[in-house]
Amino acid sequence: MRYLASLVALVLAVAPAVADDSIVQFDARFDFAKVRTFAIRDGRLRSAREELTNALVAQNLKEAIRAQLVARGLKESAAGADLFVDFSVTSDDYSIGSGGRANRIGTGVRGRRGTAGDGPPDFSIAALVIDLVASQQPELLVWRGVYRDTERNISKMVQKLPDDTRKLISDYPPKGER
Amino acid sequence: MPAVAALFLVIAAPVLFASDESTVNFDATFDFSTVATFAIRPTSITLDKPEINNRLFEQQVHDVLVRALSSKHLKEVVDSPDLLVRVSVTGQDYSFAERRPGTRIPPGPRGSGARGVVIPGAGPVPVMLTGGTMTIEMIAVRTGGVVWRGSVRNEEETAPRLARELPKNASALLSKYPPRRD
Repeated sequence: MRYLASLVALVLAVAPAVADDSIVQFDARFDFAKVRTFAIRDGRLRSAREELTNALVAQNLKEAIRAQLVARGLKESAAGADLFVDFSVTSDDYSIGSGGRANRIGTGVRGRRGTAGDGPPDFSIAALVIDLVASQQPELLVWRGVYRDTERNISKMVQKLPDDTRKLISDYPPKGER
Repeated sequence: MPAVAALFLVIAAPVLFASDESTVNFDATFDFSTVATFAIRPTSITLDKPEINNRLFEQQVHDVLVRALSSKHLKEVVDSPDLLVRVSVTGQDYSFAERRPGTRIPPGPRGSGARGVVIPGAGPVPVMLTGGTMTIEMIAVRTGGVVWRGSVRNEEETAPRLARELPKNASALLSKYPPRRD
């Protein structure tokens, strides 16, 4: 018990108090039952970390999105798709200052006290955004999933992206009320 | 069991930082009983979060407004409304440091064999919050003046949570319409 308590205290002492979280939003007026086909467009990756911005990450994400949508009965179609799929991953790095505050590296975070700090990142927060856009004219955003992941290790974050994708799309097609 | 509960409390401490507060102001000289119709202007969102700065969130807020005002026997119209409803959402991220005090869990009853334990204090630990302020203004079309203004400020651990809470906050704000004169 003492060992467990010490372990918990140690974890709490160094971990940022931020949990992973996600949300799925959708257009309640859009008839998702009519959707049969999709096309995945190029993703957007914005991060200071090369581990997150290389072409393999985009390729793996595309593959994860494709697998999830096909598993839900949709078919990929190069031309005339009902839905376009857009996705993006952005990340910000944070350092923990001597006072314990988290400061965004580079641009800084306006906080209650102090200023932004510089230095090697202590943790990173990434936002994976998957949009389903109705291919009508003009195009219309009808579904959005956002997964926010906080990790000390950027490699772990990259590894988790396909699973984050799966969790978001598991809520497709949306059911009932928002 | 008390030890598990205490551990849970320590781990769940950041949730305690999430908060919201609201204010409502109104024009005491305006006769709200004459209002029968309203129209909603596009929402202004300057909070740079994909969960909030998108048309789906705006649609959700719009639906909340229509539901709330319809329940007050007001009707949404396109032309010549009595009230124009304007919504804005602003906000930013915050970070601060938290120190978690140590916790002493007393031993169990004599003879139970359960020994007490002390969980050492921790910190400083960074706490990050996303703050959002939603403001709902009602403008009397006849005079062009703001006659009702409700504002709610909410701080949540994550932007998805804020996106879930703000529509509920809007509903709670509108429960205070029409204003009662005491």
